[in-house]
Amino acid sequence: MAKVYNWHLGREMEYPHEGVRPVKQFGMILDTNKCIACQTCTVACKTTWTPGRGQETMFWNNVESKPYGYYPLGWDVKILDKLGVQDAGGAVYQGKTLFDAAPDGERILGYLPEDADYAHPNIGEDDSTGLMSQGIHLTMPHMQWMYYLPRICNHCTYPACLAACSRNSIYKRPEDGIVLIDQTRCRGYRECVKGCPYKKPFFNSNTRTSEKCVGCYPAIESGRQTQCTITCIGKIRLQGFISAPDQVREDNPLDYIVHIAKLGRPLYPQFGLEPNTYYIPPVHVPPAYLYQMFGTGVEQAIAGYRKAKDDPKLLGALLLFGACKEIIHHYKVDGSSAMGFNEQGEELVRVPLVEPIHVRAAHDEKFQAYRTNIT
Amino acid sequence: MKVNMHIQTVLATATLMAVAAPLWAADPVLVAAKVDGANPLGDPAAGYWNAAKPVEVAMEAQTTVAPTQPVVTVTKMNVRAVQNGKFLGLLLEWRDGSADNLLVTDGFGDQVAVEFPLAFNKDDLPNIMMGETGKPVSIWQWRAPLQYDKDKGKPTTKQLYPNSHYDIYPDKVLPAETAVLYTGAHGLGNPVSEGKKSAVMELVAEGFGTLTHVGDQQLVDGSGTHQSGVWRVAMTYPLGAESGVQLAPGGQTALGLAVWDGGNKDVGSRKAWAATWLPLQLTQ
Repeated sequence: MAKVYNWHLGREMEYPHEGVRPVKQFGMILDTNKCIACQTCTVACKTTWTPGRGQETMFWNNVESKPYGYYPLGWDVKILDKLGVQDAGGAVYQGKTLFDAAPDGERILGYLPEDADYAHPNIGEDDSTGLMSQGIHLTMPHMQWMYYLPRICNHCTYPACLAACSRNSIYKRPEDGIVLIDQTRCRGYRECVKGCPYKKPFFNSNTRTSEKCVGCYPAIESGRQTQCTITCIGKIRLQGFISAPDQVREDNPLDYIVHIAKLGRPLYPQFGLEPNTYYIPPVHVPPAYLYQMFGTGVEQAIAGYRKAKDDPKLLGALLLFGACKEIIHHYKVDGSSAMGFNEQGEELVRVPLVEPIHVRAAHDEKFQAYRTNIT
Repeated sequence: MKVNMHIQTVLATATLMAVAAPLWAADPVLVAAKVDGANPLGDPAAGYWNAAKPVEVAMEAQTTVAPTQPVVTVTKMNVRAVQNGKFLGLLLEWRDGSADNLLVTDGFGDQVAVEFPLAFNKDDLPNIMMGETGKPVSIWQWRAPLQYDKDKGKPTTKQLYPNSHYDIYPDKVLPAETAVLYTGAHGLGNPVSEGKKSAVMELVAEGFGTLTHVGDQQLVDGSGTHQSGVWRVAMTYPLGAESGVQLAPGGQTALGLAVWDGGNKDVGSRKAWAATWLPLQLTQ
């Protein structure tokens, strides 16, 4: 075991391989407050990557309802249960990671889902925590709640799948941090399926190998954001590159949202994988639940989100979500708009910080017709 | 990351060399009896095995390298060897109540493997655990799912999941050269994806995590049957091959063994193995 630094935990931890950060790290921020679970991302991913034989129930991207939706069934509660109650501590996580908790003879604490766990990808959809009695009204946070959690592979800095693979078939690309399974080397041992707590490697019963989200690497290589990002009708995602805390660039919208404004939170940081997709927590959900899923800092993230309109840099970064197909490497906010730039500094997109309001006259003079107010 | 993993593999191998020196037991010796003919000796039901004296080998859980399966179900195997001047034949027999030959997420397959030093030197054997850097081993692995493919054809999704329904597959609507892009490892010719040619794979290794298929260089072939709760798997290999394992009448080498019970979720390093090399003597 090597000692590596995991900034999500605020401390060093044990990992089976030396810690080498890639030149750039694939990253994504997802705003859970904007997701409506339309599954456009899921379908875009499915038709692009997994329509083949043996991939029938395989969704590299999925959107599940929380707290009762899971794909595969019970994935997070099962591994949380195995890990047991841990001491979250404060800025420094005091509990065990999945690497610390590995039983004798194992590289990591994990479990292999049952085949049937994949049979109902959208189980628990829209299930709320309970019923609302008659006459009651919602308060904040909501007393009964649910929200949508869109998920892809987190292309972790310390991937459990890579650590678990006894064949060295999994690698993390040094140029962009994307984690891939070499389909010529994989022999379908399913150690990655067992080891990944997010259950994002899947076994393909036709190829007899394990497959996972490839981060749309051909798109990334040509400067484009992933399929799940650019097809999102709610514009809830921003995909680009995320820096380590000592390399933060204020003009990188991902860095600004995660490191400076501290709105983006990692998914289950306590597992110790330093996942690289970040979530803006749902504002209406009781923090006690959110602590478990996104670690400490959720209240700060929610408070910052509520005040985003007062921070033009933050507002500008948030408005670049879904604004263009290309990866935004730099961004700038001037008086009235936010601009996204590619790696070469060329302007990709410009969005207004405040959408102009147009008021149409109730009567159309040209057509001599009254307009219907549809709002 | 890849470079570092490689370094770690080397380190792990070096550590193991210190604790698990190669073992060579003078007794028992597996003798490859001379039989007639000049054809491959890969039929588990053939009569020529009667000419060979079986050697019983104790199998134990591999617990040295994680991940492990500490409780194994196969604790002994019978091994026989024959040669006809052109080919070596090995017959491996072990008790396993169920033939596990269909692969789904939580369903694993039965397997068996034999291992030979690529360059045999009785006094300088490679680490029995997958060889070591500079001392490669040849591994012949038979897989029950590949045998199923050969005997009955590769199972379709509909066979694996009778109640499943799927709208349309790429190969139903796209030209073959485009549809192949959606076939993953299968389209890349990964040997585990389909047992068209052989149910046995020929592999080389120089330590943990280095096991690699030899591709078109494969010389080994074989077949397995499951009857009355017993697997009988035969493997055959040409004598005097220019590449691969060097075997000749009158020659000697060492043999390692591993077996997997799919029903016990054995896979990869989760296996039962023979902890010492078994001497193999070929008759003249």
